[in-house]
Amino acid sequence: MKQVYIVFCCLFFSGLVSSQTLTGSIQNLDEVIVLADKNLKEFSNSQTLVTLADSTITRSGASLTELLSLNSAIHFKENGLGMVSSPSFRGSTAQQTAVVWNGININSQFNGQTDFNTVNIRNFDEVGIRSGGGSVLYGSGAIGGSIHLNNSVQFHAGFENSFFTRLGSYDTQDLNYTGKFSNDKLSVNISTSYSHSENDYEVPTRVGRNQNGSFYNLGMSANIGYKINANNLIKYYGYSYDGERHFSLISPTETPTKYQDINTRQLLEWEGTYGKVSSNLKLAYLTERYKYFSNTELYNYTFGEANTVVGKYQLGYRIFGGAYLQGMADITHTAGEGSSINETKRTISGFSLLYKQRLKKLIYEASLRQEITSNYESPLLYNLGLRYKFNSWYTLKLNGSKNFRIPTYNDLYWTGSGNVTLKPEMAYQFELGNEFQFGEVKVSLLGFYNDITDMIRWLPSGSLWNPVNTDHVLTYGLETQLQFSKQIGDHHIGLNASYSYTKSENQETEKQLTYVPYHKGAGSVNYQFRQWSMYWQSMYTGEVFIFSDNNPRYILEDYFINNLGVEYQFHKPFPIQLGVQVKNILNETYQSVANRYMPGINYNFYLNFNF
Amino acid sequence: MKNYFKSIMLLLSFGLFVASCSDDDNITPIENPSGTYENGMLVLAEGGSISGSVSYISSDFTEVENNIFFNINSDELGTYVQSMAFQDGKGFIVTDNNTINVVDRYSFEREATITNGLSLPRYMAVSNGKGYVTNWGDGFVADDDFVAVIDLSSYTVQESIPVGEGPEQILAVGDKLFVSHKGGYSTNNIITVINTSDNSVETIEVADNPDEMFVNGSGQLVVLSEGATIYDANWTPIGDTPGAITTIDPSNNSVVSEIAFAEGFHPNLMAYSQGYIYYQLNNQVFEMSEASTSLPTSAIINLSGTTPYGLSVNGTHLFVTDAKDFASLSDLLVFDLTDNSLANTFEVGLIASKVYFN
Repeated sequence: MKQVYIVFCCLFFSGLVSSQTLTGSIQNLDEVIVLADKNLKEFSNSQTLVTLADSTITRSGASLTELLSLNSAIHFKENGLGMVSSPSFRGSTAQQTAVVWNGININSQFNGQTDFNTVNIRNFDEVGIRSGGGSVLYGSGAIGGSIHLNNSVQFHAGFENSFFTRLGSYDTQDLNYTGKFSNDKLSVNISTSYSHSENDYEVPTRVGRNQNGSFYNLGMSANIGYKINANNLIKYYGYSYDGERHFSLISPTETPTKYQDINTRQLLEWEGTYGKVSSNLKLAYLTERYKYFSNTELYNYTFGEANTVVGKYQLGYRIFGGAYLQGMADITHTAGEGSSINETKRTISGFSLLYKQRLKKLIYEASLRQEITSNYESPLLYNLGLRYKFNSWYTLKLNGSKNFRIPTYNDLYWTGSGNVTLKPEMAYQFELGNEFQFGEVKVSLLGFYNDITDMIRWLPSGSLWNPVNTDHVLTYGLETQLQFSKQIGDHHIGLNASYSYTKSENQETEKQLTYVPYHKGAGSVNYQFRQWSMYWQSMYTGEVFIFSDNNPRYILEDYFINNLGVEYQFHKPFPIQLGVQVKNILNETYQSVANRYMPGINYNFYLNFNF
Repeated sequence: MKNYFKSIMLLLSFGLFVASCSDDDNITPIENPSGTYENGMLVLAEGGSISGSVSYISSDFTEVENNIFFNINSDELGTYVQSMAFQDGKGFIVTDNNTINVVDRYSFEREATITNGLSLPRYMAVSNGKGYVTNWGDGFVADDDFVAVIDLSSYTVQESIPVGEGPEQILAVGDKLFVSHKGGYSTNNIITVINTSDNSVETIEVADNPDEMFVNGSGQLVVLSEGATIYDANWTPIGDTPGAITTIDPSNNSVVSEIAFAEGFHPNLMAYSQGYIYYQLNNQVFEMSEASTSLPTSAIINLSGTTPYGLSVNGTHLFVTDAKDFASLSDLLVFDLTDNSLANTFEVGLIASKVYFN
């Protein structure tokens, strides 16, 4: 009842504000949108880049895990809803997916990965999924692929406010307010997201209900753009995240634990366009801090804290019509420490050269990157690709690249265990993509091959554990995608389906990596009639092995999750979208990590109010 | 086991949280036709990504049954199954998740569960008709460690005896209890002696990280200390303290003898049988007479390619649990001490550790 009250208060308040600001409406001007990370679209021609639509984001819960799990081929290993979540992208490990915020790699300095349940999607204007190697552009970890959280700066759009609220089972709230103002010179965008859940869903074990599983997070962002003149644009992106999760129990007698994350990111960017020359200077400051409480009743905790400064300069030159050359120099300086890591500084500088040429039917791109650091020997990275449009219905894409994942602070500096002689993990990869378009039907068929060597694994040596470069893993597979969209009168139908087969085999043992499914499928059907929409989302994940020897008696069974939603769009007096969703409508009992059950059937409704 | 815990903490920080409990539908236990778990071995497995468990292997090696606690009680032990104690036909299974399950030691039917008054329990001993359980408290806190005293008729914790950091194994000798302090997540170098008549406490200093203990043929307490790594202020390893086998006179708590290992050598498992001490060092098993004043120079069993995690001896058989890569089921390796050859291998639970003879 309390939430409903709050929602109505907010609605009422927002209504007041909007009725004031909307007088003398300045909509329908030529809206100009400037993306934060221009490289993403510029240099992804020979690979797969999917940008998730706003409607897809609206229909998802607040966590990046849920969004991508339903809308991509990425598999997630989730310790129960909202708990620690790590990706496996094209059969790779959790550290082999780079998460990139406005062009800056934000994987943790400590463990080299992003916990996808600590990213609230509502603070971003765009979520992109780029499959395959991307270390030349995005650095460490862009092996399986990279996830892009981008904000945009827009001009000439006037005032825009949006208020989003979702209330659901297990006392779950997911709220966002975004306010935008822009004229021809200045653009301001502020956004606040709050997500909370008691998360006490029923689990089929003797615990009965998910115990000690509650979480909340608060994300705030501010994105500002200022046009100095026609050639120069200054942008600022600020973001902060503060979240706390209690980690759910398996046995009721376990000591309850909790985990806190506090991350801040700031980026100042100066973009200049001078005829054929484009110049881009970025200065970023990132902080990450975690605290782990091994007993929620006590104040004792272990922690890690890292502050990173990134400087990046890009100079691009349009040589002629379709040829573009870009040089890039960057420096990343990190100072990190933790309960088991002494304060250690690390500086990595990098130089990249990227070239792209667009001919009539052909686009080819070639890029190189060399990093220099005193911590380990850094290899020359490259990416070569081409895209050829044979005719109106068939396009071929070829891409080969060399990528890496650098050793993390934990790997290198963990007291008593860290190994400072570690090398980066290396990945050579190749992919071949085919895209077909027949009217309203788009089909893509892609094969990939990824040879990953020197994979870092912690192994016992005597009574201590040390990280070593040991595993050699081949991942290869097939990705298919089908898109269909048709409008007949007032009826619109859209279909999106993907299926992937992934083999991820340790070359020494010839066994599939644990927790990597062979099969994953995801899809949705959307039917719209005037102001009504109805959609069905499905996700299938094949069985996974729990043990490294692929013991057939210890598997997690496959699961098939389905959601149903209905939306209604009001246009007057304000654009309001109302939605009701039933998740896991078939009430499937499932888990992606052994004995970490996920919720059964559950419900939510949401409201998206623009004014 | 402490280092394993350190690693667990590390894994926690990796965000790769290990889960517990098995996918029960997929386990097909081998039936144990006799229906009891007498005349055989109980092999404990700590668990990790699945629940810890207990396996039974008959003395003649013909019957094997994994997950016996689950099979009998339809419930999992959870993680991490640490140790067992036995008294009056009862078995006490100590699990780190603040639980002691009391079972009939032969039928394995659960009779009680103790959860109150425990905080990261490790090992249990019985003396004076009471159970004494070592507890770490919070593994990062140095002054909250204790020995819980359990009334064995009501199965409740009656009182707590505060002890130093990281109490590990506990052994009853007469009216005394000897507790080795491996130090929890830290390091320690004491044996606590508890006088059960008044619960008064004394300490004996030994080499760093004492863990395994037994009473030898002369009634003396023998302690294996693993030794420790020494770090400078920046946590850079700058050396180590040697491990040692220390013999203590339990009547007056004095150290009778100490045989130190060379610097850089850290033995970590020890067992005793019929006048001989067996210990594990660098993937080799060494055998020495309890009367010996020096360490043997050559090993009797080579364990290369395995991850030794537990060691026990019974008669002419020596048992080693091989935890492998900690991400697949462990093996119990059975060696015949008449010729030191590998006689049998059994697949047991995940991260198998202790072997008890029932």
